[in-house]
Amino acid sequence: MKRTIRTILALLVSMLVCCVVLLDLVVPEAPPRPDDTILLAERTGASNLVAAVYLGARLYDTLFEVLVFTVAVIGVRFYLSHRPSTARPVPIPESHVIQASAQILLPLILVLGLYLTFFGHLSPGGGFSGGVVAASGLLLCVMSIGLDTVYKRLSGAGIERLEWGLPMMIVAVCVLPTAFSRPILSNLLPIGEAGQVFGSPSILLLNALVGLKVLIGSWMVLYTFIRHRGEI
Amino acid sequence: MAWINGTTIAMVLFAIGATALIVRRDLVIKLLALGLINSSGILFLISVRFHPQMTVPILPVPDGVLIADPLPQALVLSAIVINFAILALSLVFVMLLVERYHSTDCERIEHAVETEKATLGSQNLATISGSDETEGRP
Repeated sequence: MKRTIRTILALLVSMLVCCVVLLDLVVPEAPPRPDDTILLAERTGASNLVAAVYLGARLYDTLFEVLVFTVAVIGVRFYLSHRPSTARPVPIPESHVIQASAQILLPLILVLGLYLTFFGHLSPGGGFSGGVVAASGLLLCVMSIGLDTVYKRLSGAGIERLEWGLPMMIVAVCVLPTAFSRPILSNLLPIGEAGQVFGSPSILLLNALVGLKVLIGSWMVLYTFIRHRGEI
Repeated sequence: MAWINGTTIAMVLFAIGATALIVRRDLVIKLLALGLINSSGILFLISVRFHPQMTVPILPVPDGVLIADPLPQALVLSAIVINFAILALSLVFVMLLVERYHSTDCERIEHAVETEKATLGSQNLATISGSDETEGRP
């Protein structure tokens, strides 16, 4: 009985939402004028207009997106750090095929992540996708050589201090133009030739910072889940 | 078959996700349903301005070719990252609940919480009345 009422309620809710969307939906026939978007590309120097939007015109959104990501990583670490961690996470015994192929695939995956990050303003990609690709490479590394080894190598590189420092650096890059009496969240670095890697240095810098931040944040989430669950 | 496009598929996905979110009692399946609703929103935002003659918004484009609107794509990027953050954080909460109540069934968890509250309340009442009695005694 209760289940039937719930099902009817669910169908009603979804139909209501769909009706509201359909009634309210006014799709403008004319596509965006190319002049607007090309002007945006000239102002930021990025060929990829999506990157020009989310790291140029709507940088404020991206800033808070990074902050939401940081808060989620902090929340995961905070709530799981009170739980007892398994002393030694037991890796699933992997076959030699995975162990050998991880050694070959890891550099390729990391290079792909770097490429997506540093060419995000010229081609599809960007800091978010590049960081996630590199973090999946780290997960493959964990599956082949074990969690503790990867964790020791990465903490030797000071990755945990970067975890807290990178959001500060992103905020600093956004706020720094005010020191030079420019509007906040504006481009500080000079715009170069369009279509080149250093054509828009400020978007390149922001992409690199966001990519590193997403890489470290995803690695922290993966590490915390594996450490407190005891399995890979 | 012109009505089968991204918008209608997004609505069907939303209906499936909302139904699963309300009807199913398993918390992990509720999270999966939330992810489905998020995906339907992404599909809707991307396909609502779709036009077959548009190209990707990456310069340079040839003359006379329409460029797709980059704004919904940038919004969708935020939606994906925030969905990841929500999923990670709520999985932690589900883990904590499962550890404490040994179930992912939300009604069982509610029942367990209510019984726990009731026992705690009676214990508190007992301690309060006991302290009153001890204070009342000379």
